[in-house]
Amino acid sequence: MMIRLRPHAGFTLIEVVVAVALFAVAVTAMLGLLPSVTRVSDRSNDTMNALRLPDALRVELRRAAVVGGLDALGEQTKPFAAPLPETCLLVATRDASRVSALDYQPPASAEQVNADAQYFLIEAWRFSDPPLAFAPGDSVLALHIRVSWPYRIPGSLVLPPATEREHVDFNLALNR
Amino acid sequence: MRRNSRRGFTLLELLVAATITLMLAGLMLTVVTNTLNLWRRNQNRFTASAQALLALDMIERDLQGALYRADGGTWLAVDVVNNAAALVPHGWLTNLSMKPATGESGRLIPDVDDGTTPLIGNARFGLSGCWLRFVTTNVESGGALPIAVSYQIARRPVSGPITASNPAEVRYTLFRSAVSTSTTFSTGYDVAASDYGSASVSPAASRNPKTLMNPNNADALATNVVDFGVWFYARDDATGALRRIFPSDNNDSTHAARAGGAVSDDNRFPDVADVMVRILSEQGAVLLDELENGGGHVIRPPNYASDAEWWWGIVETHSTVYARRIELRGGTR
Repeated sequence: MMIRLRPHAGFTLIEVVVAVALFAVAVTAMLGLLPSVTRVSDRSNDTMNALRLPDALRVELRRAAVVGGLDALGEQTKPFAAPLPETCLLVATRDASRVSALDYQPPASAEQVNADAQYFLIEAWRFSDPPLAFAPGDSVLALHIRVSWPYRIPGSLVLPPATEREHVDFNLALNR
Repeated sequence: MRRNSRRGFTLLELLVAATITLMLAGLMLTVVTNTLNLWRRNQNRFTASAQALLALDMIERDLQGALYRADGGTWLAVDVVNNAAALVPHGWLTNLSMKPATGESGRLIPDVDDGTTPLIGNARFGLSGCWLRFVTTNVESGGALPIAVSYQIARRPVSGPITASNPAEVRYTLFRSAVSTSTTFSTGYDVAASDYGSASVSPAASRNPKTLMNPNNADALATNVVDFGVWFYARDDATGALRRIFPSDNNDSTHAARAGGAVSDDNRFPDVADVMVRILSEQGAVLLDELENGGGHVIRPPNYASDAEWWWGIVETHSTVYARRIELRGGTR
């Protein structure tokens, strides 16, 4: 007996609905990935802000240098070596417009460094080897700067773990 | 038993299928709408961020190269112009403008209630924003020779004449006008000199090349900039602390760095500047355009007590502020 095919048979309604459902799930899953673009964009924005910090940082370091002198500031910043020693710490607002020293020469006048102004953590090391090494009396203090974030998230009391921070590094010099 | 291949669907089958399809469509619509909104907000923010980077980089390079010499001339000046009529020579289209001059806009120093230092990002710089001009040696301006530059925002059609009948879209734009080195040399280094004022109230076709007042459309640095402001600081020689010298209070709308006897804070050349720009998203710019040029078709929502509050409500919702601290190194201490 020959099996007779049904050349004009289409899909059943159930088949169509299942196919549409699978398609919808796939598309929704793909679109659901797009918000990660926002996180990438945030990271990129923060990186750009961190790279804008040198001028504001120089303003604050100059203040610290006026208070205690360039030699004292040089003494406060530890030599850049492995493992990285604890050194002079500063913080900055997320828009990178305001930098404040945390533990060296307290901030100017009655300024308080509140948690909202501590998005970026800035660590400054001096160089240990010539020609950039600093000795008291030198006219230029060259520093290796590491900016890491988020140090404190505005509005949150929880301190994000240091291992989860992003960071950028650059060098900066202060004249006497 | 042989199934009848021409049998149709039952009503129940159709209803179930339609319901499932509608639920899927609704789900997809929600996800797609949210994703597109997120994407648009992201794009707006990225565009504004790129514009701010360009503008602030340029201002930073110019201010870092700003010059000052104690010869009695004004080497750096800033004004907040709160009079609409006085903005016409700056190339503003003041017709139908709803930006308030004082009150809502007059927060040169924002209030803080927790004892912290106010931030320039929360300030509002009057009707005009800051009109900043100074002499600089920005190397991009044709070598390291001094040139006079000005920064200001102006509300005007994006192209063509500055008239109410111009059909082009009206936008707030940040301009940078740079006078050539030779013209600066021949005109002098006093940015307050009348020679640097506008010679024409409609500069589109006849810009005075010496002007620091009325920028050409070609001088546009960033569009949709609805506020632009600066704060100046002097550094205390003993403590290194910064003291704000402009603005000293909410009514301090002018600063001119020039020598003249004992230099007061009003005439001091700053050591440090804070600069801010407030940039609208394109969606916010369109809303603002409809608000100002809608011919009364757009009605103020009842939750806003005044047009001024409404204007700032839309601007605050759809704008981002970018600020930067800049060290000026060209001054004599």
